[in-house]
Amino acid sequence: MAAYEAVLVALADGTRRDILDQLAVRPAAVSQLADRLPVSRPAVSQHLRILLDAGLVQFDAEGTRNVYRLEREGFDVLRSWLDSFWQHVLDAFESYANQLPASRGEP
Amino acid sequence: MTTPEPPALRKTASVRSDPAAAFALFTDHLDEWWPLATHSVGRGDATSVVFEHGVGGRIVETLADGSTAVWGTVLVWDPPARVRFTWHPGTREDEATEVEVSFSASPEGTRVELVHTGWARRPDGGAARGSYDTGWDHVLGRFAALGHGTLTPTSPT
Repeated sequence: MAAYEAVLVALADGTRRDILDQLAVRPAAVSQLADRLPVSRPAVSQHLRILLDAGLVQFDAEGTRNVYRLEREGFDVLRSWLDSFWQHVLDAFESYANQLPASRGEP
Repeated sequence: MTTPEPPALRKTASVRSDPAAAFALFTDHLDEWWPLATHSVGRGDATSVVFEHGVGGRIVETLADGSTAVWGTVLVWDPPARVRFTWHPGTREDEATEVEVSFSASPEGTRVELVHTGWARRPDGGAARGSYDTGWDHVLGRFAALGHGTLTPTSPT
């Protein structure tokens, strides 16, 4: 799976988006996230694992717990994928339009 | 909480046709130039894509098994100047972002500009709409709130 696909898959789930939403407000430990969301702690851990693999979150160890925060990498991957998506599309349009007979579309 | 809007994604192209012809090529002839094999829901199984005219018109991909995938719905239909549509290929409609393509006369023919927006909470408020702001568009908006500065625009305007 390409890096951008991992990001898209990670973002396709509502609970994971809720987690990102929470982390955008402030970093949080698993237990804090589980308290605020209608899912179990193990479920939060699983979701965090997927977000971590996609490069969307990172954690810092604070004592005995890991405090999660948003990570830029996954977002940059997504941004650059979208950027190349539209570049490719417009390049295709440009070459299609410009290889047509010059008379086409002239006033 | 106010979420800063990350810069819109902008891309431009230059074509020799006049704006009216460029607009028609972009919409009516979508099936002839769109890179369906790589840029579609069905990838290799995608057989066609149609850009329906007018506000409320849809952009619809048809797959080899006859099923369809709606990529978006036209919000503004203003030929030959611009067309604006929601954009949600492969995702739910309520997770749509928006794309606007404008066509302006240039010395070479037509300058085509594509702007992909909807990265953050809308001014009319997610609160009133429940959970409008979902999906990666929303997440990019959240990311901007981190204070990391702007996401690097690769196509400065």
